Amino acid sequence: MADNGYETGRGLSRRRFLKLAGVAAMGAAGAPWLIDPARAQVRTSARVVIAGAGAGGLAMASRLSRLLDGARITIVDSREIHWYQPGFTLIAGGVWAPDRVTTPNSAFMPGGVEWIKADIAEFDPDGNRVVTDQGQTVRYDYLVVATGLELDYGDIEGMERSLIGQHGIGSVYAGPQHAAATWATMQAFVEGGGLGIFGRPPGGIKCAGAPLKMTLLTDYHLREAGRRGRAELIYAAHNDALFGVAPVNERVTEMFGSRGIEPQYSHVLKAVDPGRRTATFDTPDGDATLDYDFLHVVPPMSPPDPVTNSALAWQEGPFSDKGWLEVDQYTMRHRRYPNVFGIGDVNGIPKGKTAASVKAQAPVVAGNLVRVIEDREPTHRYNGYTSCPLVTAVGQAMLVEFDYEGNLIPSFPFLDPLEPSWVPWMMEELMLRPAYDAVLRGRI
Amino acid sequence: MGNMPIYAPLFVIFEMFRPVLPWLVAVVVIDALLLAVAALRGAPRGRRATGVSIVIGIVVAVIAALRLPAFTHAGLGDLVTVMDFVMLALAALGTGVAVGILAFPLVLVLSGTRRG
Ligand SMILES: Cc1cc2nc3c(=O)[nH]c(=O)nc-3n(C[C@H](O)[C@H](O)[C@H](O)COP(=O)(O)OP(=O)(O)OC[C@H]3O[C@@H](n4cnc5c(N)ncnc54)[C@H](O)[C@@H]3O)c2cc1C
Repeated sequence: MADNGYETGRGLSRRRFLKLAGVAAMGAAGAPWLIDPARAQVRTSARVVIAGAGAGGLAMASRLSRLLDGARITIVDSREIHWYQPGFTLIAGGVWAPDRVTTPNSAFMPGGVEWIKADIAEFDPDGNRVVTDQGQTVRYDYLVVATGLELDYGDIEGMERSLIGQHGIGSVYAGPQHAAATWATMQAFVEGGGLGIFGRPPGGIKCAGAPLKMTLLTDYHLREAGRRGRAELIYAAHNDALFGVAPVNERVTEMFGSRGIEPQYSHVLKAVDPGRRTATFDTPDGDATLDYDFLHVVPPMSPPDPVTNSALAWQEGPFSDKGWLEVDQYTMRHRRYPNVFGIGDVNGIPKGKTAASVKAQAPVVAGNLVRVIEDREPTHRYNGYTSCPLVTAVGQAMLVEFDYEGNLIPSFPFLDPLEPSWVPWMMEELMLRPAYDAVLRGRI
Repeated sequence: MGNMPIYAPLFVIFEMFRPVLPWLVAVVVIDALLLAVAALRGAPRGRRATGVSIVIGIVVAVIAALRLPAFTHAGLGDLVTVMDFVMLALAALGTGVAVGILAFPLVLVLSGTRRG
């Protein structure tokens, strides 16, 4: 009993009870804002330009706007609608509607950050300036390149983006509507059966798990429809492995075997004839042409032209072929221009073309940029963390996470990264989007 | 994920509820008002309200356990590891506890006063 005889909670007076309830409610609502990973402010008048307002650019804008006091931060990107790209696979797998992955970019744009709605046409790192496609010159003291990458459908003879959804061609990468068109094409294939061809190109691609997911989801839908026996599935790997991380490769190879998916190694898609429904592959034995009923095209990928054509691109070594951004793979700082950093898909580094990598890179880039502004050495290091829930069926996935060395580095020790189960699927379906949004808001 | 800071789940959960945040705040405010009404009216039936809220929580937890896989477009058959069942149980428990707590003020007011 409380002092005034009311049973308002054991041993609590009415006033105390109301006070505690109020504090608890305020605490519950405000708790996330009390813990701010990027709060310690550094005074500076530096001008920071962020090129690109995708996952990496927005995460940087959010973090830097809270870390830097007095800095002038400008983000440059003409895109007004943000795409939650990891959701494309769920659209193409028939699980989500396309509108679940689109949000106005303004919803993530932090206050106090200037947004120039144009694209960068030229990077001039020697002059510390960028020029937009509208002719505006923007000068900077520090530059963060976050332009992502481009999809080069045109590099495959006969292929173009507009063919997605027609002539049995699908491609999960091009955007939400294209992912939906891919789902429609996959459904037609499930109905009609025949030969389904999947695969991936050589070189850096974002979410290297996506081509595998599309293969496994097609297999899943065929089985669900009771039509697996009427279809043949081939996976054209660009080299001698299905995935670049050894234990994952072994597991996926085993899974393909048990599900009757035939790997064809060292097969690179070079041409498509949509009218005749044929796909031609470059193989060690010469060209091989196959008749397909469903072709899932994964285009070669490269940095946007303004990056490739600038002095910021790698000039030699394995990442120079396409002109990826030349950053140190650990500090994310440009190797020749010390006031330039890179984040996300545009970086010429051995791994890390996923949104999960952006999550791991953002504190490194922001932390190191702040240290450089303070005239200190960058000490934060990115370990190559790359991850994607490898969907194996609607309802099951494997949460695969690895570093530069190809070591599996699970965040959740209680989950077997190589065992398909519901928990990683539940994460993909329910929790990845909120986690992604928290990254864009610079909170995790 | 990837060297996820200890506080990260808090932000993930916050973002998860962001679309329904106005509704959630409204429920919390209404709950606070209901608690105030119960406190001002005097002698609320705290024990009875607690019991009813627990029952509500248990019922919601059971429903959540059965419905959560379908809510993620999965079937109960997709739960194959011990962790799947443990996580489902925890998620159902969390939902039950949350609903039970949120229902408590209303149940308290509806339970009337001990003297009345
Ligand atoms: C089908 C698919 C599935 C995926 N699945 C997963 C997954 O399961 N897990 C995961 O972690 N990741 C996944 N990803 C990868 C993830 O979405 C990307 O790695 C991530 O978005 C990279 O962020 P970014 O900022 O580098 O590039 P983006 O988010 O693509 O943003 C780049 C931005 O730069 C802008 N830009 C381009 N050129 C210029 C220019 N010249 N000037 C100004 N702005 C420019 C663009 O308009 C864009 O807004 C998937 C991607 C796809 C396509």
